[in-house]
Amino acid sequence: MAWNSRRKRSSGLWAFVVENRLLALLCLAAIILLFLSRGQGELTQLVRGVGDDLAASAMELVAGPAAEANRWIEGAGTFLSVYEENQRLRDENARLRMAQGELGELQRKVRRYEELLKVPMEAPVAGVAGRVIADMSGPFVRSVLVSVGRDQGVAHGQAVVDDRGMLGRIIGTGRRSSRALLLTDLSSRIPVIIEGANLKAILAGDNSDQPTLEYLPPGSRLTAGARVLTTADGGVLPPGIVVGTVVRGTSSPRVSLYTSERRADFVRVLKYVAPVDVDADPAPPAAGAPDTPAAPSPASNGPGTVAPVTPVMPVVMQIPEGAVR
Amino acid sequence: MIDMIHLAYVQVAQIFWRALPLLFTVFLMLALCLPVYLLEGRLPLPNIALASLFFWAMNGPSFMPPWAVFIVGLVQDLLSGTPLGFWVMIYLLAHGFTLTQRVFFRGRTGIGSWLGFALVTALVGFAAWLMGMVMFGRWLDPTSLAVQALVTLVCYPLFARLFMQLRRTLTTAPESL
Repeated sequence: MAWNSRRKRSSGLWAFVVENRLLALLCLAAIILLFLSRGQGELTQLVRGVGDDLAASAMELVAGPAAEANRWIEGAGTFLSVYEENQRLRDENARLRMAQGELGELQRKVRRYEELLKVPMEAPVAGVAGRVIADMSGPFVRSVLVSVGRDQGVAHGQAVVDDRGMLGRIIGTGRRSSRALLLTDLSSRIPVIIEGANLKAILAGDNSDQPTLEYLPPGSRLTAGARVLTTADGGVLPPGIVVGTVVRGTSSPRVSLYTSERRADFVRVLKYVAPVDVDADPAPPAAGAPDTPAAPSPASNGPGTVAPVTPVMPVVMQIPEGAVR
Repeated sequence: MIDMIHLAYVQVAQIFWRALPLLFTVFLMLALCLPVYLLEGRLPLPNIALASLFFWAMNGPSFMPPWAVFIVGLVQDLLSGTPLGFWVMIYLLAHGFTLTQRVFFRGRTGIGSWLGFALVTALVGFAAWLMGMVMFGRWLDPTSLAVQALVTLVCYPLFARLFMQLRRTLTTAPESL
């Protein structure tokens, strides 16, 4: 080998670099590339988008058979526990049947209350259906490739859900594919609310299967098994998507997710636009006093808000009881 | 004229022939991205790129020249979502390191090269862990990297057999150089 004979003549790191000039040059190129892509500029995003599209076009061909293979593997795993599974499902079915009656009654009640209180109806969130075609999770980043992209209106930050719950958020888009960062990823942070306790928190991934709940108010108490849902705080995610249930963690409470990249096949990317309403200016602005808050008009107050009591406004409904006495 | 066309054809064929290990590696990397989960996805997948780089650096660097290593790293970066250049850098260093150690491991039977691969895997895992912490700017749990390194190590003989078959085909076929 030519390489070996040359190697024998000289030694040391410098000699190695001189002998492998191409390798040294490419190392230099890699460092430059690393610094350029560190900022995640527009060009990097573009390159990543093209790369994702290329990978997607190859993966789409086998996505169907892969999903089928997955189903077979899953089926083979549960084959031995069919009897127990059947019993469990029977019990669950009976419980759900009972709950269904209650649910109908409650829905009727809620609808009636909403009509009485004139709660504005939430517009249904539009979405586009796609398929998880590749699992790109490595030791650092946990993400999946979804088969819909910019051409279908997918954009950065949109939520990706499947029939069980939330899977992640879009972090990069190609023309026909996009990349979703999973909730379990190290850099994933989403605002959530804990049902029952009505506490808000940030669901933070740490590359383990169960993300942690951070920024809980000090002294708050949670019950294991409470449902965790998304909130519209920050205007990023549509409210009310189920995420998982609270479980006890070693240092902080964790969330057992309803879905994961292992279960997700068909997904939906939600094109949520946070409603931001600007009310009409109630009065011509007072000159020289831009800092004083505008007088709240009765119409802008929701049913739950407490209006500051001003003597000129005959707001009967919203004066708290204590203030009347 | 016909001679020139023939020559061009031969050259293109040779380039393709030499790029086959690279293409095969990229193909395997894509195949490992398929959303199919054996063992319910409890174990991380082996780092096939590293296994391939090590094998070709040991058993025929001309089939996996530095530019091919660069491409493998770039593909890994694009697939896994790490900053572009991250795996490129690590793989180039691993390639260089393997070349310097080649004299020690060459000609050894299975277990010798396997031990060499263990050393390279450990070093790459450590380098990736350190560089990852610098890149992401926070403490990273080394467990997942360590488990992946172990899985890669266990799977290496299988990949080596596969690559050896490819190498045999490449060197014995009439079109080979």
